[in-house]
Amino acid sequence: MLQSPDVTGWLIQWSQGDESALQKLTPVVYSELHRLAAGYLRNERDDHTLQATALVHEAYLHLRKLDKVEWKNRSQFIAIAAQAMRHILVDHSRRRNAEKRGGDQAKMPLQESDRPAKELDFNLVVLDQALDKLANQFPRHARVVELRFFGGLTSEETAEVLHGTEDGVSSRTVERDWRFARAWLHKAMSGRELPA
Amino acid sequence: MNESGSQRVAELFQMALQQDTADRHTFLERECEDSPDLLAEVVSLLESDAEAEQNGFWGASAMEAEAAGTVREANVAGQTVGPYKLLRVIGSGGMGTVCLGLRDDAEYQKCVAVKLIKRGMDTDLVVQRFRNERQILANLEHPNIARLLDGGSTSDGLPYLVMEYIDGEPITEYADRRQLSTYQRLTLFRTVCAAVEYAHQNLVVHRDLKPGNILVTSDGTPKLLDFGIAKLLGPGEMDATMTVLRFLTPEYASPEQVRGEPFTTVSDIYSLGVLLYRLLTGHRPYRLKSQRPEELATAICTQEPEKPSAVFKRRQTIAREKGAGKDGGESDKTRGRLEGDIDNIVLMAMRKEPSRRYGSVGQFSEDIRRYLEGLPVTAHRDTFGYRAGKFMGRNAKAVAVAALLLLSLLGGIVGTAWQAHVARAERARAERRFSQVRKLTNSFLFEFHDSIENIPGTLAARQLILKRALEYLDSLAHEAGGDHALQSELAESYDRVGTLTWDVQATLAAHRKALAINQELVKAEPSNRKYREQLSASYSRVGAALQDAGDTAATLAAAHSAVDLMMTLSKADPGNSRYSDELADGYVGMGIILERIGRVDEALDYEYKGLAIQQSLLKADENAVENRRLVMNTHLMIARGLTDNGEFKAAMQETRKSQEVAQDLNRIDPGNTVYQRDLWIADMRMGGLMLKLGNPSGALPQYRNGLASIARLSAADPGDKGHRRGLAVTYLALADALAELKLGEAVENYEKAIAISQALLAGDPNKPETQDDLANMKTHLATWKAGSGSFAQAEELFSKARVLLEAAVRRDPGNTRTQGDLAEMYARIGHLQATLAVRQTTPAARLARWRNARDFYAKGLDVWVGLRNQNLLWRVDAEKPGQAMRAVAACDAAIAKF
Repeated sequence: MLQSPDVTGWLIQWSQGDESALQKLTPVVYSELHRLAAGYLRNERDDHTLQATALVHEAYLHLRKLDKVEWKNRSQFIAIAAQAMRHILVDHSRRRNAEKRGGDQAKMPLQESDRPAKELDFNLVVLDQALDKLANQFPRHARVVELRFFGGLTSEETAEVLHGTEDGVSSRTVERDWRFARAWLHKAMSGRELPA
Repeated sequence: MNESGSQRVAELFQMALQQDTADRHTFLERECEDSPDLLAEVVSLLESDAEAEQNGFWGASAMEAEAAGTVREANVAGQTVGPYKLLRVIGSGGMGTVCLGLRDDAEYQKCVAVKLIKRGMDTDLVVQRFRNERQILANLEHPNIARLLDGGSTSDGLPYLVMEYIDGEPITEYADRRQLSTYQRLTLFRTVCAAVEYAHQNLVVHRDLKPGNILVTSDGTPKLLDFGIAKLLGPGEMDATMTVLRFLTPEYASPEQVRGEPFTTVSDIYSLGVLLYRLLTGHRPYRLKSQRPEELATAICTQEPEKPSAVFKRRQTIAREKGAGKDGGESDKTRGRLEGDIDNIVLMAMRKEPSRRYGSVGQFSEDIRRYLEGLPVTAHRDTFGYRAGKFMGRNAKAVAVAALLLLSLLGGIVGTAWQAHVARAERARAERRFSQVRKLTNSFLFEFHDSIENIPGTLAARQLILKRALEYLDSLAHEAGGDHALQSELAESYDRVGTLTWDVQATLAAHRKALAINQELVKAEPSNRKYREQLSASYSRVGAALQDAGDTAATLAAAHSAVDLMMTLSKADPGNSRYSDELADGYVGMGIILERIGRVDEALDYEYKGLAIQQSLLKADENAVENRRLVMNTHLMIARGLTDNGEFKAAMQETRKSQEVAQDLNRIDPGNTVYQRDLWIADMRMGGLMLKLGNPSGALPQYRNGLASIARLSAADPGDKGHRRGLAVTYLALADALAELKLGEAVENYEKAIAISQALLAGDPNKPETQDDLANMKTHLATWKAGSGSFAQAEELFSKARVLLEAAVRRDPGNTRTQGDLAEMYARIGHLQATLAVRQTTPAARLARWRNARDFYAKGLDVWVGLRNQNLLWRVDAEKPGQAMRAVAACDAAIAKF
């Protein structure tokens, strides 16, 4: 995977508004996704969290190595890549949910509810919608989520990317932003309103 | 919220996190003095923060989250668990994953929910518990309870449970989304109560009642899931509290569950109380600062819930302000009168002390009914008695000491008096004790059991009673010693248990115990006629039980012993018509068994002997309807034997005689269902014989008459499975006649027969006769399909029928009828393969088909030869081995050309 020298080119095209470029990128991300999924299947539970994180990073290292063009702004590249990841992964999740529901959007019956039923709605589609809302009120926090959660970056890397922008922050600030954003999104996604 | 407001929320959130947990609330209250909204927002975010911390979703990256989601589905789709094909994941949680599965095999097709238990739970223990409970759980048949269908462990050793699949939504979501009124909510809730009550009557406690386990389907039917599952998966007594918190939804758990104390039906009542609270108010009963389970556990055990009416009123006020009156139909005045009542009802169900809740779900539900009808309810606020009880509780030690003193005082008096009597009274005492236990057993068996026998929903309770009764009987038998009268009584009791019990092996075991006692009695008193009668009856019962257990050979031995005994009794007292009657019955019974295992001539001998006795009895009393029916039945049995021997004409004469009796009885009493059934059987037999004599157009009206009778019977009592089976078999016969006449109508009749049998099998998956029926129906339909060119369908039907028939032969190797059916089917498959061989275009394909054909003909040949070697081949089948041999030879010749 990730052998295609055009990844960078596609990202540039996409960042310039060419939607079809994203479609070319999609199989690259999907194959990584499925490699990751296969990893889940092969390994015991405790291992794969670590391994998956490593894999995501590996994917990014690949992306960065493919960076043949000298980017004027390396941070910009990573930010665009993270955005692309968001689009592709959310789309994947949406399709998966549609298949799962047999194509219609009816609510899934839950036979099991050892945990609150709403937890099962925690998928990337719901997150994507909540993230848009978060961005209205807290644009910087939303960017942190995009880089960290969708981009798979560490706090340090996230801080580094944000450094070159008007949001320039320390990794500690990234940590704090992340925690607030996480609480905010969790609440929004749980659909829980304040008790009367 | 404006931008600066947003920033303030974020700021306060960060600042609060830097405070000690204990100080956070004070800190925020101080900071948000002027803005309760801001305070609420930040507090809520802090709660979400705690929840998010616990939630694995946030622990990884989006790529991981999505990969995990992909895995959850990819992992199951297309896999099979036992006979179930998994389609997709429909949920997951602490216990494991739930998948939508499809049962699709020779038996039936059905959507199910397959619950795969997570690795890490003790597989052996779960499977063991499942085995212990499965019968009880499978017996829970209620329209509002999702049935447990099956369970076992996967090839990877993961335990799984299979349940009826319910497409619905949690009851709370259903009620909210449809905006049900309070009245509708209460009515819906009472339906749930009825289901829980039914389970309780069957001694099954749910243990995990909550909205997620009570789904409402789109037509408004609530269905309770996972009855008794918590017990299967639950922990032992150790560490119960932690496990409860981990596995159950603590919100609905009762104080005793949280504390790890024993579960009872009353624990379910508590959970129902919480559910009702939630349904009526839209809120949880306890106010908590955090989401931590420990805090919730404490609240469950100590916090008094706020009155539902207060919560409801607040909600209503808010709703009214928003202009959306949810309960507009009810006047405030009515509500005012009833408010206190509904508070009392809900809070009574939710009391901390199990003994102070409703005694049963029925009472709880009844109180709601009274509330709905404006009657006074039984629930009430804390009373003086309760407060006095509280005192007792607080002073338990003092009360206990007083009780102990009193007991020892009584014990002293009794003890002294006793010792003086002991030597002299030893024997009397033993006898008294014995008779007490005897009385208890009898009252258990004959009174208590009978008193609840006809109450629906007491099956599990009756099973328990019978189990206990058996234990008592065993202990009595141990002590009965040489007391013959007592032993005789014991044997009778064992037989009673045997007839009442639910399971083939248990029945057999009980009758065998009675048999052993009766054998001893006859040995001890050979001249006692009563004991010999009992022994004969005992052999018959064991024989019948063996037959149910599918052991034909042993059945015959038992029946033989019964007949021998009755013969000696009858010889000694020829005028005793009861003996003659029993003897005739025994002869015919022997005939039936012998015919089944292929010893047709012997069978006919016995049947003719039986018929002779029955006819002389009938002569003595021409109007005795029972005797007429016996004669009619024996004629039919003889006809059957003659048919096996290929003497169709003679068989028809015998059948005609019974048909005449049946017609006559129906004329006398047209509404009598027993006579209708008799006529149906006679018509069917007549049709069958005509078919055998090559007269399908003569058979057709017989079968149509039979269909009319059995359809009427079945419609009158749709629950009668015997009639349903009769209907299926009649459709099969009709289809066969139509098929002989090459009428396409045959197919729909085969299909009707198969559909009915499949439904019967779904209700009772292990019933041998239904499996045999289905095998025959599929074989016959397959033959039609093959004859009309639908080869692929024919092959598929044959292969399904083959699975069923081969299993049937394995199950009861002594049954020659099934063996013959199997051999016949092999020949039909062989014929189909040969037919297909000719149609193949390539030589390789032709060769393969010829080989298949040869294999099947050879299999059939093996069966026929086996039967002949044991002298069990029916005369009507005498040609079969030769035919099979010729077919094999023909295949060999075809194969040799390649």
